[in-house]
Amino acid sequence: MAVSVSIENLTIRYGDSTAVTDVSFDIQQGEFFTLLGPSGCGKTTILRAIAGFIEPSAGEIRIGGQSMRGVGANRRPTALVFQSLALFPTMSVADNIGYGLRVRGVGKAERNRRVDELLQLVALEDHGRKGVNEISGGQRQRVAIARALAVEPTVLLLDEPLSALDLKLRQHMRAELRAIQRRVGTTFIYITHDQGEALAMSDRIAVMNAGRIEQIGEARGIYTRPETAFVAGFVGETNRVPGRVLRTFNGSAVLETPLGNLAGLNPAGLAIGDKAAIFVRPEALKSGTGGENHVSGQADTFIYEGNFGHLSFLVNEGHALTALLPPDTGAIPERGQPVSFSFGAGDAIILAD
Amino acid sequence: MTAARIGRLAFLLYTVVFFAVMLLPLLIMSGTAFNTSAYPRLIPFEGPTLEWFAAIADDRQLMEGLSTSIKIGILTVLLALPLGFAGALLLQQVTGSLRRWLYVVLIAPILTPGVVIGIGTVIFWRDFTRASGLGFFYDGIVLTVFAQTSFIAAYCMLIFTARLDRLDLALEEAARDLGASPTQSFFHVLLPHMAPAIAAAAFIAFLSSVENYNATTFAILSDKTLTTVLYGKVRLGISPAISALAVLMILATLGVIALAWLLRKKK
Amino acid sequence: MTPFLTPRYLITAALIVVLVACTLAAARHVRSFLRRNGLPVGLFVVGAVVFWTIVLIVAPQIFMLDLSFRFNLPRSQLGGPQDVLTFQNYRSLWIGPDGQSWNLLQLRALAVTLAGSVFVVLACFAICYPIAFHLAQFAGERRLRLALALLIVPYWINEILRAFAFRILFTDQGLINRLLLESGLISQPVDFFNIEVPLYTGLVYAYLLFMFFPLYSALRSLPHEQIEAARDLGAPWWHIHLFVVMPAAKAGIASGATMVFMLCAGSLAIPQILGGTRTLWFTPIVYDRFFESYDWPQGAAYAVMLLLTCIVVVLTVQRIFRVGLRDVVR
Repeated sequence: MAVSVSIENLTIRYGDSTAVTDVSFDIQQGEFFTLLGPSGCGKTTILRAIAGFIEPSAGEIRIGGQSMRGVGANRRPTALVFQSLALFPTMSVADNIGYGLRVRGVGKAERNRRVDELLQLVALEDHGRKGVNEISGGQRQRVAIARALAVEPTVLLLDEPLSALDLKLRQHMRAELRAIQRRVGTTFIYITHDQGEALAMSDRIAVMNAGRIEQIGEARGIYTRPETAFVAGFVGETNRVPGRVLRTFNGSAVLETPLGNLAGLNPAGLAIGDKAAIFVRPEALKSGTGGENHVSGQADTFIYEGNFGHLSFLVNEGHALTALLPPDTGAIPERGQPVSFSFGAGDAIILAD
Repeated sequence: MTAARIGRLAFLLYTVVFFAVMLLPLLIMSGTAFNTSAYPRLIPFEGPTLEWFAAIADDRQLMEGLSTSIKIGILTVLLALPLGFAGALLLQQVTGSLRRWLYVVLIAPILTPGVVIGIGTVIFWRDFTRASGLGFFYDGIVLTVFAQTSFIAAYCMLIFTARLDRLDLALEEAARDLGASPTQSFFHVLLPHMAPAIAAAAFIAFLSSVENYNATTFAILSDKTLTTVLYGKVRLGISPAISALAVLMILATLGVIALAWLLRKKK
Repeated sequence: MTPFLTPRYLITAALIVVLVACTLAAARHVRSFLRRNGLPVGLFVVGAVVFWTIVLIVAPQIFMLDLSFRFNLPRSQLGGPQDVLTFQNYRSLWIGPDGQSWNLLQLRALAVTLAGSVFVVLACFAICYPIAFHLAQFAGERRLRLALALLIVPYWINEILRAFAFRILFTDQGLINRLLLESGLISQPVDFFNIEVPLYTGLVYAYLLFMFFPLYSALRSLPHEQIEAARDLGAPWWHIHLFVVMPAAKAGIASGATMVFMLCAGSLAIPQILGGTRTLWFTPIVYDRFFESYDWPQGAAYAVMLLLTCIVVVLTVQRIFRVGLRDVVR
């Protein structure tokens, strides 16, 4: 596969503050690539730099092998789906979609044909002549995507386009977006702070924090094999217990913690005596004593969420852990009732803290 | 009766009196315009007549003043709209002390007494004409348009600024992102967004121009506009024909507003 | 001497040079400005604003200032040995034509104009406040729209015609004298014009809206909960207005007061039409310099004095009430 977008040592400064520090990554042709991170981590800045609205302070952005230095936003082979969608309120749905072709001087007949195609692609055949304020939120979303696809960009950039939708619609649009991407085969760069969205749609995810990339990888790898404490904490729910490395052996380690000695994977190769923390997902905590690590304490609060429940329990003073209880769990433990859980060393990860 | 009720009643009374006084001049105008009495008055009402309306049409001076005023009004709209638009755009894009100073300079003509603006304009263009020999500018209509535009453009700018504040900046970026040049994005996104404000500003600018007296009376030189003719008439003596004219002006304004409302409703 | 080498052209030219220098100093910004707007629109914006500020606003004021320091010479002597700078036009404002006695009439006219304008400001505020407060805080959508329409309608007719209406109202045979005579309250018509009732009525009426709208929008932005909270805490109504509502509306009051004051002090038609034979107002005196004595330099000097005294009054009052110019010109 060919490289579609390549970012090399990108740094972006605003006055004294640095929004993006020395970021590099390549995106393959036809990939659904997500930049995931908390607000203010610099992901939107990178997206706007790719689109051409921000000039990099240092580094290089290449699209299809071409350097984008000095190329204006209107001359780049990118198209951006804005967070606010930015549909032109003075134009109809069809005129919005055809706008990019219009400013490129595409003739009316050809333009209409393309617009019809795109309306079909996003299943809005009957809405072309409506105003953009006469259609629903999800439909507006699809118009924005169709408008961006109309110019046949090498890369489609999406800036948290689902954030304004309600939960149901958002989940529906995830699947829809992924399907559209498969159909058109265009490279997508997607920005979000919602890890659920990122995990559900992406081929690969880059997790960002404070202007730097923490980890790049496939959804599964990011979730199950986080490489930094930030990624472990940010992507998905996790229990974190700090401590000091006691022993290491063969890719694993034992951590001395206030909850006792706990064993886990040691992918970073930490040495004895290093300060570290052990991370374990709530769903890895099984009731009973099956795994290598045992924790017991008193039940504290139970939060019912329909298909499962979250139980948090106190192991000793100040240390609370959360376990996921499956729906077939019998009696929910009362507050103060003793509970005990265990987890396998292969389900826990020890990372520098 | 409780104190609160007395207070409410007093306020109601105040409101009624307030609006009655506000509308009083209109009532006096309408009443005297239709009264046969040659001296404009409401009582005694000597019987209805339309002769004062006929008198307006016969008044050549008034008609000439009116046509000059309309000419000036149209020219002022044509000049003040682009200037006010440019001012609003520039203010939107500059920051810091430059913005503050620019704002003060552009708004100052609104607060400056009209006589000062009129006098300054006449002196400047008289001297400029003498020095350059370009006689075109030293003309009552041209000078009045210049004098009025200096502050009417500021009204327009305020209207444009308010509308511009409501423009989603992402719209312009979206146009640029889809391949539009800055000029294309100006005509495709910005101008359509500003259209209602442009219409409102044109309306206000035209009314302010026709209505203006203070600056106009200096800048018009030896020509006459509606307001200077009216001033002469009111000074010389009072006639119900003036009331009739006022009634016509109210009707004309009402007509324009009704038309605008109908057009908007049709959309 | 070529006509373009006079101070006014030099000052104007200097201004343009300063402007160009500032622009070049900000060249980086200019480039990004042009990139953002494109060349045609960028040039239009800059060109239009330069024309507006320099040619329409600043240059006329500089030329007026320049002329105010010159003698009233016939055209043939302009640029000649007698065309020198002088303070005489300003002196004639307070020293009479004989060069010795005080010119009390003009000084009094200026003082009356300033004091009268302050009075009009206060009257406009007192009249507008209850209505604006009620509409901003309590009125429903429909009542609000009706009230605003009723407020604006009278201003569709010309300032001069409105003054004319008040003139009809207050004459010997006018509605008010008629009603008073017939009710037997008076036996002789009252000469209202000599006691300046029509003048101040006309001025207050003419500029009421310029107080109303800034006041209204300032009061509208005050959250209703604040008033309820004050009432809930047991504050009497006058205390609420004085210490809760008015401080919140300070910027609006300042803006309205400045507008009304400047418009009123610069008002020309209303004092001319509604003034009595003894009425003093400063703008008609300026007018007479031009149209009766044909002394433009003196008229220019008087116009400059009017502008300066007004600015001084406005800035002083703003200083006292601690509001900035920025609050006013919003």
